[in-house]
Amino acid sequence: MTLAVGIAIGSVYALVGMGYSLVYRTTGVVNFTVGSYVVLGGLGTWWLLDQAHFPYGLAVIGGIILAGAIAGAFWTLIVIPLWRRRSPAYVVLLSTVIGGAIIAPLTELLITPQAEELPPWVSGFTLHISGSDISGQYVFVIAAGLAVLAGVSLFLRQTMLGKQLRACGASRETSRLLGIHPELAGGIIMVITGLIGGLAGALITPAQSSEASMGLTFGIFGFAAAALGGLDSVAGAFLGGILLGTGQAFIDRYYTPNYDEVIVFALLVAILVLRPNGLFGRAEHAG
Amino acid sequence: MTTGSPLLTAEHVTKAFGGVMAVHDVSLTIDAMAIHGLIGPNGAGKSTLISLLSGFARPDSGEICFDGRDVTQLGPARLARLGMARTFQAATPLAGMTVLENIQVALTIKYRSGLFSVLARTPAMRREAKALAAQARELLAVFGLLADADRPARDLPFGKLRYLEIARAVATEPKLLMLDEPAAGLNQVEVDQLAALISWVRADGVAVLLVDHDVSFLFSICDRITVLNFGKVVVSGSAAEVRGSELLREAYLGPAIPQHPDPPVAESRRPESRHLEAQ
Repeated sequence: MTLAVGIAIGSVYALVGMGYSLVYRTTGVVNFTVGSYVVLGGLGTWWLLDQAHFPYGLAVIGGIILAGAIAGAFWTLIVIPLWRRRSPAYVVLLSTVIGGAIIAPLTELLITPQAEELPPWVSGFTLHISGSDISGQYVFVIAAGLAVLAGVSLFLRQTMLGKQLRACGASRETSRLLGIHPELAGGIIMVITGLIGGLAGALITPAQSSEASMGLTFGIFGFAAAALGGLDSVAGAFLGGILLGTGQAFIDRYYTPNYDEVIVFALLVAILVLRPNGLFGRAEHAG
Repeated sequence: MTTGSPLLTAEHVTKAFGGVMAVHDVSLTIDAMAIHGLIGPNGAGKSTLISLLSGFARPDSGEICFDGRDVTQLGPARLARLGMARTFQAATPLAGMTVLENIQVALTIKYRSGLFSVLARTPAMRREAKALAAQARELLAVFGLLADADRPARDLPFGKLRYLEIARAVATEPKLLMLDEPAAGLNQVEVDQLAALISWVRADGVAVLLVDHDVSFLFSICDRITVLNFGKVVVSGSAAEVRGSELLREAYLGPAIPQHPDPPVAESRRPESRHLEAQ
């Protein structure tokens, strides 16, 4: 039971963590806006369903597209101008933190200031594991996590576009030599990341309500997941998310729910001291 | 296009860094299918000139035309797609990718159909991907890197890394290939191999702009030579004309020592001298 809950929560972290890893591997940017796209996907879907009275399926697609569009806009309006001015990496990182901090109140203002919940994708779908009920919605979350992991890994390894994007991550200057525009490549990957985040939001809002301020929490836990697994490894970020969620669930269950985050992060730091590149990361990365 | 017709012309190109004229009123013509040497002492402006030509820096004034169009304001990615390739002095392998993948990425420049079409897994696409892999291996074979195809690029030894850089530049199918000190740090055997590879590239119809300190290496393979000093063109002409020119000797040794038969060669090939280059 605890394991199942942990994996379910962890798969959300995994989806967000993969967003971090994807952007980092292909642009070298650590992108703290990823958590915001989860909220945008969830609340965007809610708005389209509840306020605009779209059919549920269409609302989900709309919410995901909204998150992707905001991600693309953030990249185009903020990161590209910073790149053009050769801003140092920490300024770009700061801009993503600020981006997340701006998206949250805008979401409150324009979509909803309250916590909202979506109906389950399949009503009455509940899992009974050792006497407890777990929302069946988490099955979809886990399935989506695995599908995204497989899709993204194949995309980066097997397609020429994926290879071009990895080339950008390895060296922006060199990729220019090869006729690749790193700005465009980064935009493509940011939209993909936004879509993944939006999907995560649309998937979890039926299981646990979403509100605008949660973007930061998702952002931090997703980043922790990616750092735990290895920021340059998409599969590592996925496993890192599952481990993080499971660890948190076990501490909740057997120790105390009050300090679970403190303990989880203390463990994270301990692991990173032992393995600075994460559990599955490579030793070096020429960003 | 035949030998002799101008492929790239730079006219009155000037670039200053903080009051220092790195490149001062330089005019230069590179002919199609020619090997053009660019020499000069450290700080003469050779690397800056290559950066200007390849779009990594914009000139303060002057005009650059490539393949019949004004490219003065174009960036490196656009120029790469127009057929201009270059290498840097320091090798820049794509970390996290294999030797073969380094070449494959460079070959994708010819996917004119657009980035997204390669996602579609139609039989035609699959054939194209197969042809691409074959082409990449062919190129690796020419550069003696076939046995290393699946190694991570950054694990290559120094000399092979240099060849990979050049092979990757050639993979973009350029009309003009600019090599910034390709012989630096190589031993004599490797320099001879390099000369053979450059001749092979030219025979394939590519013009080459070759920057090096190593005067004997340059004179052995270049059709034309331009000598830079203090950011200005000192002399430019056929290899034979420049070799006999008093101005070449002066650029290296100053005007006072006429009895020295050849400019210094061995000393300037040490890798550490690369760091002194004004950039």
